Amino acid sequence: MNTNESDINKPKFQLPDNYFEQFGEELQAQIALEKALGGKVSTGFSTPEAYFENRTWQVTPISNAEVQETGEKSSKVVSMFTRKTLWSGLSIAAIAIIVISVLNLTTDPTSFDTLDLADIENYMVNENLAFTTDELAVLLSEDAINTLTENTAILDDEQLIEYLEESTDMYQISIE
Amino acid sequence: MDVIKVPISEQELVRKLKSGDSEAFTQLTKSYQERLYWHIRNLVKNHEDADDVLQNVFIKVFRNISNFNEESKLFTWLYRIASNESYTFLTKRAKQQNISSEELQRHIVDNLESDVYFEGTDIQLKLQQAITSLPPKQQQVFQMKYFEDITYDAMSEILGTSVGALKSSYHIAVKKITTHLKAY
Repeated sequence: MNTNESDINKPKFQLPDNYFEQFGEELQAQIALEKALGGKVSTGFSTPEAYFENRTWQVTPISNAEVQETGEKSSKVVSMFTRKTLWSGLSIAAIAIIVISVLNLTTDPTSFDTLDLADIENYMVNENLAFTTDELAVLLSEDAINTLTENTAILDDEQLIEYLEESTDMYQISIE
Repeated sequence: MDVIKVPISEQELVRKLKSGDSEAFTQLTKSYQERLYWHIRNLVKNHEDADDVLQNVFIKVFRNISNFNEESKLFTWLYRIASNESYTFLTKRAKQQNISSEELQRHIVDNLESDVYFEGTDIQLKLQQAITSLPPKQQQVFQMKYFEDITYDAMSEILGTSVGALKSSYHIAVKKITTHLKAY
């Protein structure tokens, strides 16, 4: 292996093209910003006193209706996935399936393989269906949701629940 | 005898979270609530809104932890959820008010002066106004770098953008903000 003295003394590191020009330009821009701001500044945002110390997070199985009844703001409760939330998800999916199947007017039956939750979300966003699941849970009684799903011939509860449970995005629909 | 709690590894924390350990969830919230709050607050600006979005983020984490594949770090996953939740919140708010997201942001920043949880000086207010004038991606990159000191590597994982593109975005944002500050 041929090595001479000058090769040994030179580091073998490579640099991106125009590295130092770019570095200088970025540094100048940063200094100009510092000057304009009079130094490094913070956001200026503050929080209520002891906000982080007083904030409590509990994992409690509690229904959405219970959360709304108590109306507590200071002590936040993370509710677990409840049956009511599931029904909210089911009702959204049911509504979406009905709408899609009616609008499409095709002879192809809607199957779970063809149902894309992103389409449901897009439909809800584009059509401005601004119902949260909590609102849906309040608006629709459990009986109404049951009736809705029972009267929808293309729906099979177990299949739908299984599909929603397996879906990564199911949660997104259930809280949005 | 006092029991000394030894901090557990991220891997162990995730394992406990996946098994439904409520104490692990509490530890997660304690460890990350502050960083996530400020990340959200920079995006939504208002404390009450940040508080609501933060709650949604932890609910989402709680419900989806089983889907966390551990290919990325836990904190990058959390930041990604926090960013998405913040933008979803802003989009919905703009839609409800029948205005564009840009108009909504201007409206929010214009109201900062009367916000009890904004204690900024005139220059800090101007900085917020300057940030609002940037496109959303540049805003986020600038805030993550300037206010939150997040490394480009971490930012790259969170935002799914190359480090080179992020550096370029930040550089452009810095220049635009400086120009904006000098103009006003």
